[in-house]
Amino acid sequence: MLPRSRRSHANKVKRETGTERTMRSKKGQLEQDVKRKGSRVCSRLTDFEATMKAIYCGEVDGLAVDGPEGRRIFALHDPEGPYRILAERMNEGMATLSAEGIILFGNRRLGEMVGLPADRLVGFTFLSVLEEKGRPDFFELVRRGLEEDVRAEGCLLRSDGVMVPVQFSLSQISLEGSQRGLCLVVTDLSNQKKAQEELRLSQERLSGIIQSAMDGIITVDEQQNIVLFNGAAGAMLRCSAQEAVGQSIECFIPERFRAAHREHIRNFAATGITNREMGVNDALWAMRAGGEEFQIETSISKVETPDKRLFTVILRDVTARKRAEEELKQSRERQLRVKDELLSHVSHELRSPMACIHQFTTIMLDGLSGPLNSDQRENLEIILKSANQLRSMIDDLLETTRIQAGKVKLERGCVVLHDAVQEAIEMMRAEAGEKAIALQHETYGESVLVCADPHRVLQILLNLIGNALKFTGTRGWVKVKYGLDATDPTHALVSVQDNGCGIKAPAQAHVFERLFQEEASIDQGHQGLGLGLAICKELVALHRGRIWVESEPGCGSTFSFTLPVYSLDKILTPVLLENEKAPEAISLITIRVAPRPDTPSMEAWVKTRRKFVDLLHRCTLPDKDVVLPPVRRNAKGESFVIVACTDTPGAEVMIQRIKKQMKRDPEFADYGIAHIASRLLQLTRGIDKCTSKEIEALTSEITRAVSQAMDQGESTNEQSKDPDYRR
Amino acid sequence: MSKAKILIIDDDSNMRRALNVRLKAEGYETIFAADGFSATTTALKEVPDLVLLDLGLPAGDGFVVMERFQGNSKLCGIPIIVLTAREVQGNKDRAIASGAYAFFQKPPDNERLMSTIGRVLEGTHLGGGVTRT
Repeated sequence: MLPRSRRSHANKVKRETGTERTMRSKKGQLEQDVKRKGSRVCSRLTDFEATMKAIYCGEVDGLAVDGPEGRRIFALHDPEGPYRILAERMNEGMATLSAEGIILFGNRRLGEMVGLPADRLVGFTFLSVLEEKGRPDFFELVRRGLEEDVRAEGCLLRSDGVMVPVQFSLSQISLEGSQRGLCLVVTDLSNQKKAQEELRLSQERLSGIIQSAMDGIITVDEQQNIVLFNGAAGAMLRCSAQEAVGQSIECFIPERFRAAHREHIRNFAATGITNREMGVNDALWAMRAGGEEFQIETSISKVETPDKRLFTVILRDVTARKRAEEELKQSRERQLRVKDELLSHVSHELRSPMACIHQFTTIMLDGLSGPLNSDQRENLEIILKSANQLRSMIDDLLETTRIQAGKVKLERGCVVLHDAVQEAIEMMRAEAGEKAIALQHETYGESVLVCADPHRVLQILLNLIGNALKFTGTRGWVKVKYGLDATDPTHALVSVQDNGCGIKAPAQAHVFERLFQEEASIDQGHQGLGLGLAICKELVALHRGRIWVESEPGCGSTFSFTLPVYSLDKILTPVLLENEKAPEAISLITIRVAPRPDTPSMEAWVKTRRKFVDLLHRCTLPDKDVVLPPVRRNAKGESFVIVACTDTPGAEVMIQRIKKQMKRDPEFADYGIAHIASRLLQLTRGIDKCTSKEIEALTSEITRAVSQAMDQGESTNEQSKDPDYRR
Repeated sequence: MSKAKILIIDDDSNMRRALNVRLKAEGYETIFAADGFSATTTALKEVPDLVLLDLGLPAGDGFVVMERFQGNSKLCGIPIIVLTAREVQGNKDRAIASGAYAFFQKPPDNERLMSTIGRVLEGTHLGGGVTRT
């Protein structure tokens, strides 16, 4: 029970009420006195009970008591409570140490770090929870901590033996009884350390990758100074990383390329493109320390980091690769050369014995080794036929290989399609006759001139007609149609149609392939290597035409091909442009051939005309002169024009040669040169300086001159200027 | 007209024999050489009217022989017809440029060969060289 005086200063203060005073009376004053005292005690007990209840419930923070020494406040709650909560809840370990380093207090976290309950630490020296080798340092730290705030890293020894990396933070505090002590905060650095270690490992890994890369890796900043320089770059450029870092990358670029490189980097930095491959097609050069230059390939990319922009250059020394490429190219050329030599050798070797077979068989057939009976004749003819087949197969084989090797050159001229077709038909007439196959020709429209190699055109026609005859039965027909292509006026169209067995649909796609033969065709009469159509296709392609087939099994096939229509400049341009030396002049030599006065007509001329053209060709140089194809023929004769890259004296020599040859050859007995003259065309400049426009102008001029010459020639009457004409 | 003398230069004895048969049948006189070296010596000794020349010869091929003939004052006027197993393209132009009058691939069209020989010989008899310079 509390004394009255104190009680009265409790929270709930009660005063004597007036009612209680008035209760005082004379009568039974003692009774009243006792009652009064009793009720007073009761109420004070009630107060007391209430107060105690309040204190018990924690509603009372403190008591104010007036005592003999004055008023004193007693706190009922611990004033350090909030701080204690903080200490227990914080993530750092905390301890209070004495000046000697003895633990006076440790928080829960410290206990966790050390692996022991915190209250068990009290009384022990802190050194006992440190790793051994860190103890002297900590001792020193404590000593310093008494003077100033210190911080250091160290290691705690956990109860399970694990070392925990920590940071110590010591500062001086005063303890009870004015003693000096230390406040120690311990921060667990495990995670930090782990992160640092991972970063280090990752950097090491990356560095390892960069260092071990086979390509050179150089990183430069915006000023072109080298920031990173790997081992491969060092090996390539013969410079160590230490020497290179900090230098400008320009010291590894040959001087003549530096400006271009700077420009390139500038452009690259400006564009959004992050990668660029340089030096793949064009040569890029780098320079080793020491000045030696070598070829490289590089790619460059941009890296934007928060503080600056970097460029990464990947460098590859392609010297070895370029050398290998060169060697490969040379090896391929060597192989082609070997193949060509083999071909030529094979050609020679195969032909010789075959030629012998041919020679002796014909000698016997011509009766030069004695008379033959009909059996012998027949047998020899079979031998000859086989020899011819063999020759044709060898020719085909060599031809196709040569075309493949690009060794076939066309000698383009103007070919009168009609004449070519006629000639082919004539040559095949005998073979057609054997199977009683009608060989016909038909032309659509006007006579067409094509720009082609006459021998090759003949070759194509003979091949196609030959095939048609092979695959057509007896008493069938083969028709050759030719004329201007209705769908394309720049080309002429020729088709060889037969009513033979036709070609099955799947085979149609393959007929133009080398060595392809339809199964049904492998019988006696159809021997061959299967190269004919392949050769035709290649020849047509060389002429820039097209070839195709339409066929229906049982009805027949039509093989068609196109050839470009002739125009003068097509013939002239290659010759004019091929000339290496610029001719001073071009001469036009016009020749007019006419039948002699006593010769009835020009009909027989058709056969001999080809020989005359051959004669003209013999008198000219194929790469300098052009014998223009004859285009003006009438009953009175035919005009020829030669465009010769020579001056008047040279033209004169040519004229004399032509005349002589003409005279000598009995073939031309019925014809003579009615007129032959040369005319010099003045050129404003040498051919090799002419642009293509000027070449065009030149060919137009030549064309005009040719027309004029033709007109002049035609107007010549029977009285010829050439004395030799009258013989 | 006296019988023209034709020099057949070919290393293939069969070809020489075959040509001999044909030429004799045409009424020509024939002489032979089997290689580049004896071609020149025989020609110098016999001075033929015409030469049938194979290109693939030992001891100097046909082109070398033509060069030698051109370079020799006694031989440069003799007309040469090339008769070879080699392919036409390339060889024909080269042969004509080297001075050959004509080019035939073996086996030749005998009719054409004979008529060419006839023409060439006629030409020579009328005077003037037929080979192009």
